Amino acid sequence: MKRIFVMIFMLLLSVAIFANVVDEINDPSAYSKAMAGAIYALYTGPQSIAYNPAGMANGKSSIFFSHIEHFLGVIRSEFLSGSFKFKNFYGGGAIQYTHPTDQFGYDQYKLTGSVAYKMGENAVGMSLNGWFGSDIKSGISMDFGSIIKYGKLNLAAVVKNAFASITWASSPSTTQTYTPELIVGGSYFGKKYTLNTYLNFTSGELGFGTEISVTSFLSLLGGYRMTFYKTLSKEVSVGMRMRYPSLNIVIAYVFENSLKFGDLLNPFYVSLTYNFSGGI
Amino acid sequence: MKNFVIFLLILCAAVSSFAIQIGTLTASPTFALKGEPITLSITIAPATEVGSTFLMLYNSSTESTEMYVPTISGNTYTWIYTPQYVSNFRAQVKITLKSTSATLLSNVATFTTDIPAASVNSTIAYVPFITNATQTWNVKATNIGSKSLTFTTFSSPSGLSIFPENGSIQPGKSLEFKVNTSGVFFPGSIYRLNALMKTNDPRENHSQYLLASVVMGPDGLLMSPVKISSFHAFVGSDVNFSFSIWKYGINLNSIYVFWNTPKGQKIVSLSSTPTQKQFSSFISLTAPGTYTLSQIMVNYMYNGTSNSTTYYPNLKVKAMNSSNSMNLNLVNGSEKVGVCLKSSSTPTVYAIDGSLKKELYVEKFKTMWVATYTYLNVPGPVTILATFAGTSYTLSRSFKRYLVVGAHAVYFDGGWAFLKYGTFASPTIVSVFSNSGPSKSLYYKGFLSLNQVSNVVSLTSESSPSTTITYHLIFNQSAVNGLYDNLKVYELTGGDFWKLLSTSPEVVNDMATFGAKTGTYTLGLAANVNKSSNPKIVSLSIVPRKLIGCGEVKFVLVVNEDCYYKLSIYDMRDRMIADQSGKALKTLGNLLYVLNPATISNGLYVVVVSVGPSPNSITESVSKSFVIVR
Repeated sequence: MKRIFVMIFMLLLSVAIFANVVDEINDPSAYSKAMAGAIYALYTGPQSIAYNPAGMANGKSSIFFSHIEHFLGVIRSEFLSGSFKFKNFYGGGAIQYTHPTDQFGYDQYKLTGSVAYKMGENAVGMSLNGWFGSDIKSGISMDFGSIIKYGKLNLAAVVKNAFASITWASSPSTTQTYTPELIVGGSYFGKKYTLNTYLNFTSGELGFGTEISVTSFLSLLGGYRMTFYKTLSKEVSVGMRMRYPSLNIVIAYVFENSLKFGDLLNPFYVSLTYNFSGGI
Repeated sequence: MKNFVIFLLILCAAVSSFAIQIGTLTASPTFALKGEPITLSITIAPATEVGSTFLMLYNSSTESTEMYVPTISGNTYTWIYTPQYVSNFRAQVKITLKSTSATLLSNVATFTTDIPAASVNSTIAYVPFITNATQTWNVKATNIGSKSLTFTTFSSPSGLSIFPENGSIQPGKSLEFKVNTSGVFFPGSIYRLNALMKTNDPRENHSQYLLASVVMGPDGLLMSPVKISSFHAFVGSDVNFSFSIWKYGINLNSIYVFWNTPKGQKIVSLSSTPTQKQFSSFISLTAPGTYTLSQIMVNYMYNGTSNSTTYYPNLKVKAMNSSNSMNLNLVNGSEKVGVCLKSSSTPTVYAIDGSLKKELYVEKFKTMWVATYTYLNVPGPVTILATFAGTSYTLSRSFKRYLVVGAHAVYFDGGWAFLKYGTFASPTIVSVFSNSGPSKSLYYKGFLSLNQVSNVVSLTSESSPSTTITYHLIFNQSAVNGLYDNLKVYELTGGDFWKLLSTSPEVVNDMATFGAKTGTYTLGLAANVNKSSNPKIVSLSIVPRKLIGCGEVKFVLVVNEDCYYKLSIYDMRDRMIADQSGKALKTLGNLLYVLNPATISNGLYVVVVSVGPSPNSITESVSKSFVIVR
């Protein structure tokens, strides 16, 4: 009953603000991409730095790398992050490099430093982000996140890109400020599956994802996401997660606006996660 | 001894004689008319030594000298002489002493009656009521002297005009002066004006004469000149007129403005308030010809009686045949008709669609008025009617809708278009924009219609015989949307029929250049797409690839065959910020989309364009990145 209440609440809040948000690849993980970005309420280690810094608190020290080719390979992004555990504290950092490949000079770097603190099954975290690049003189923002365990349900609340301000190398240079993004997420843990969702009120993104364990080392992933921006955009995603000792490999494939463009516009994601302490 | 005595006597006599004091002989006045007395006087002392005195007066006209005895008063000897001739006079007094019988002479005094002299019948006028009417007074001046009288006239203060302004009057002649009010006198004040004449009359205090003295006001009614907004206007437009009325001591009752129009007299009644000064109204030009503001009649109360005064501005306004025009554009593939109306006044536009009469929302776009109407999908005529407030002048254009049943060929006469077999689904409504007249003059302007994308230009060759002129027409790039090969030249024939020319314009940027004879031309767009089987993207251009600062980003597609396209623009979050689909032609540049980045964030974006032989099939896609740095 309470779960239904939570779902209704989230649906009621699905009227997005569609404010000015930072134009960045905010979903760099193949694991997330395969589940339509709905990993805000999951403890996923260093890849959580891009989503919810509280999600670093998964009990492990890990390193994560993801390679993204998007828009028919025109956009590439590399995301490297790591996290370490010190008692109940977690520290982490990430670097994301985004650039186009179609003979065009544009580079965008994002550096992130994060901390998280775990309190039993719950955790809080925060990140400090910095931007620079070929057309960015400087930029800064902060992320705040939390995950609360409630029975078989994880609930997450995240404020991303708070105090965001980027100075662009225009002529003359201009400083653009952005609306903080309010995101809520939820995950339900079944026996061999998870159901996950998230809603970004500010950017108008809504996603649903699931992970189904097939074997102890193989999971299948799926998701459906809509963005309620100036034009409604829809995507269906699938993925596969393979777990070897201490190593996770996730491959995601997305049918983006497939009714409109067939299968011509689908991004390809691949992510590697290595856990120094073993396990997933 | 005897000689000594005589010497003493002579010496005494000499001494005695030298003791006489003789003053200066004066004549007053020295300038006078004949018949006017002249006073000559001299003082001689002591009187006891004076034996006798005589005035010797020389008249130059008679060349005679006359002697006159004086009137003596003490030591003063006076002669009052009244000349009976026009002449110059010289006078001298001869004095004989008692004691020695010696004779002494005074100085010579002169005076004359040979002078110019004016005589004026001055006029004093009181005009208590000021009006626009010019007042005139006649004043007669006579030269009563014997020499030519020269004069100049002037008004003091200004406000009167006097004719003549200068000249001369011969002796014995008269001249009539005309004195007019020439200033603007506002009711409420009292004006005192003098018309004066300055002359060469030498007599004392006779150099300046008053011709007329005019006192005006304070009551009155004065109207300003009438202002007209235009003396040349088109039929269908309004001409505004205005004037002011200043008044004092009166109450306005009514004001009527009389216009002589090509259709007879039209009277415009103006209302007034007690303090109103400004009056304005308009007349609507409903027919070509001359409109004359002939008179303005003002009725008022003054001193308890009704009065009326009429002004005659006699202003003429030439009304020319209106340049108002209306053109209809049937929108391809829709049930919309665009109304494009050129008018100098605001039109009210109605669509009469069967029994439905609907007023259309009209917007002004530069010099044009535009409206759109979505017509009913039924056969029959549709009339677009434009009316103009205050006039009976109207404009109307009609088009017809035909029900085409069966997949047969349809041919509309006039050489305008031949619709290929199967052009329309069966049955379908085909709209045809026809000009009025017999059926032979039915012209197809529906599907494949003239979508006007430029202004209309009219040029006339000054050479004989007429030579080809190079026309340059700037067209609306966003309306053409990259379909440059489909830009066609149309010539206006028969008043309102646009005929497609075989001439192809040379297109550079947003300008089309073509050669044609004298005539009226415009650019139109025929956007029919020929089906293709396997279209390919030749190139996709983004201009600019990196937008720094303000501006727009344009997306231009080149394809190898006519096809359909889909365009989407994404941000890095996979959010679709723009989405468009349409037709692309085998041409050098289909301008697919113009992005205004004002409402999106700075950063990296990707445009994805797909093409296909039909709207729902995709054979090729390309994507390109671009950057916004405002």
